[in-house]
Amino acid sequence: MIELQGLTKTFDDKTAVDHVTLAIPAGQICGYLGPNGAGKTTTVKMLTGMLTPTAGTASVAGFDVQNDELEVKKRIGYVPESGALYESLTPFEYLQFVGRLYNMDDDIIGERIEEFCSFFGLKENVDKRMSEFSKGMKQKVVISAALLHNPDIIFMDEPLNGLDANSALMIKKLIQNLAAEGKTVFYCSHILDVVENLCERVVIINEGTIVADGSVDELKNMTERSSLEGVFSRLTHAEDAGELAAAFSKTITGSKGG
Amino acid sequence: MRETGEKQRERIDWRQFRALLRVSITMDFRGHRGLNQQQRKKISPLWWSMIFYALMSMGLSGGLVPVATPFLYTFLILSYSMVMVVFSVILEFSNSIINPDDGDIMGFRPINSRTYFSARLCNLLFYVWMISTALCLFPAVIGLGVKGMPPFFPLVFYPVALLANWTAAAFVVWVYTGLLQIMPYSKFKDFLAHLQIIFSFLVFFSYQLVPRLAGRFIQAGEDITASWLHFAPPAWFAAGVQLLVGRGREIDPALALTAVAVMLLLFFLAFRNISVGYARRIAELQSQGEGRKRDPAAAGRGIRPARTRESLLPALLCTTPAARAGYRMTVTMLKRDRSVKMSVYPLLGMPFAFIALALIEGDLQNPFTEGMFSGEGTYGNIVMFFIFFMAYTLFNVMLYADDWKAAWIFQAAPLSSPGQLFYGLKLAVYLRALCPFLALLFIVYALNFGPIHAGMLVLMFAGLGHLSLSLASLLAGDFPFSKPRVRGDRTRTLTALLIIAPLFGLLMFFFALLKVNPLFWWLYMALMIPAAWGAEKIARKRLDRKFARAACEQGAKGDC
Repeated sequence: MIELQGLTKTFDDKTAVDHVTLAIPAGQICGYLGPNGAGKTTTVKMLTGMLTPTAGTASVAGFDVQNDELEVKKRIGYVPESGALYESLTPFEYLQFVGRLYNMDDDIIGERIEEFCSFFGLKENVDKRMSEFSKGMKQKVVISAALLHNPDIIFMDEPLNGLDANSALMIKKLIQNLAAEGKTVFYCSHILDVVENLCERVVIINEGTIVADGSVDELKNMTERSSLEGVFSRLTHAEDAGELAAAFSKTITGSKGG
Repeated sequence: MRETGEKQRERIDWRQFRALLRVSITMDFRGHRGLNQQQRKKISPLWWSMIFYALMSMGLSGGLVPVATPFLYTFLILSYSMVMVVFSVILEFSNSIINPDDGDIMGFRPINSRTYFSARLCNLLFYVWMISTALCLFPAVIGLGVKGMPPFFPLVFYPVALLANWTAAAFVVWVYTGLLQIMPYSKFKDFLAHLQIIFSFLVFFSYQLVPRLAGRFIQAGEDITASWLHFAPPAWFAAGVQLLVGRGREIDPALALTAVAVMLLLFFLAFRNISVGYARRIAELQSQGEGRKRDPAAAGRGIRPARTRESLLPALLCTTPAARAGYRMTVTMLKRDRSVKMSVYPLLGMPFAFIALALIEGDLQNPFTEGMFSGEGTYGNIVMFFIFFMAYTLFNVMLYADDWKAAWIFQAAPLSSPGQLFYGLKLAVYLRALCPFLALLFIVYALNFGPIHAGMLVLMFAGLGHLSLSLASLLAGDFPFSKPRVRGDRTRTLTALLIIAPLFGLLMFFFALLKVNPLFWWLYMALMIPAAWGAEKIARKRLDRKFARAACEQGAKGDC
């Protein structure tokens, strides 16, 4: 469903993604982890046709992301980390707009908007401008816009941003059900607990290259750590975090302004 | 499969096109809110723009009716409207052609570049149509009052004016998108910023020619035969109007044909630039930005030793941490924020144009010895208007930022006096933008009037700038850098400026009295200093109260 062969992206002299090779079959939830600036979002942007790879190839749903960009885009849903949307529109107007961009029939769009707003508890706010919404409410609209056209492959970059515990739980269950129905989910996040519980496979990227790929248990065995957090720290060379934090907390409490 | 992909990329998807256009137009007509949630905007910036342009065009056409011939009236109104459209499209370019939100919201949707940019172009044409209606509809009707104007003039003038304004907009689009095609990606944004500054400066500068030409033409009456006029695009369209109302001269068919040919050519060029490869160029531009964000070496270069103290003057004048914060932030934004720079520096175009014109024509007049508005030499002294205009506009520019959401910090921070923050902002605008301009004025005036009169005049301007800044902050309703840029917003600022313009008229009276008795300078200063100081105090108190109330209504603070 998703295949990357030596995918590379360089900006000026900096290589953000360096010869990443990966294959994710249909129906799998794949967690894609990495520290800040590791190349997660750049990878997703190349797979969603927002960035052109410098080298290598990638195919999504059987279509090449460079040569059949529009075919790829028709089959994917994407929840961007930025959560950007046109805030002067109402959820109904925005979702109707998105549905039309995917050439959905207006009646179907209407029905789907009603279903999504009902599921996300947005029914009472469907005709209010989103500039008045909380971050969580906006995030629900962003997720709705990603799933409205029933995509085969879903890219999610920190999808739980701003959601309350109940909404987050609903989304996690939804993702699991969608995967059970055969959808492929590419899940980028920093929340390791969620990734550990949700993803059957975890890929860790550091400085643009893949440093680990396997199930959570496989990674634990490989690194001899008992949690995904420990695995992550070990593979991204951040094991001295505790010592650093202890030293810095003394700086904070010892400062005059504190 | 590849062929299919290429065909899809080239074909306009009309359903997507309609959806994109509908949403763009809906957003054009909607107001927006900045971070200060209490500031509900009931009238959209586009409506404000239309009101502003309608008022300006009514004033201009009303003034021309008694003195102009039909051709002159048509030519001058078209010149005015075309310049205003060019100006407006340049000013709002980042929202007209490149919408910064679109990359994140639509980059991954299945829209080909031709469909997307056709919708953007049509949205721009719609915007120009709205602006043109405001600029030309009233003059079309008022023009019936011109002696010898045929009764069906409005029916001919309005559509021709619309075509002329679309042509003007297409010219800007062609120039900008053409540059986008050939510029290296990494340099494009900076280049665009500087180009926009130069372009705006030139537009402001050339705009000064219109009233000058008006005076000369009115004196010349019917005998407008200057051959150079045939090179002016508004004259081509004015010739078309003359032909259609049955008053064509011998040269008018050729001029009208030129108008049609240039219009078709510019539309073809602008549309071609926009539809081919433009999306990819923007995507690459954005990816370049991604690279910069991720380049630790570049980030490292940006880290400099922290500057903990201001230089002497701001340190003396900013007595509170909030004022120092406002000052430093504004200075930094003036230096580094590309869009703030693009908003600020073009404003200098008009006063520089006036000074240059005065120097070129050698008619810079000393208001103390020669009077303020006598004879032709008013260009140098009319700069006083721009001091007022600049200070007010500069302050308002500082309320906007691309990263406007970051202004949450002003709501979260325990600011006991938000007015102090604005004081720091005003001081930065004053010291960093107005003072250098005043210093330049002093040099120009000193070379012409001698240092004493130059100094006295510049002090008057300095007081005027201070008063203008205080008035601007008195009308402010948002924190610094807390509002998103929306198309038409800058024009709304100009509309508000019109409201306080009568006050400026009173001040002009003082300048005119200087020749009668130089003691009026002392009277002016005696009134200006307490007025500016008082306005500053009132503004600070008002802002403190306003933001405390806003925080209270939002439940941000406990004690209300």
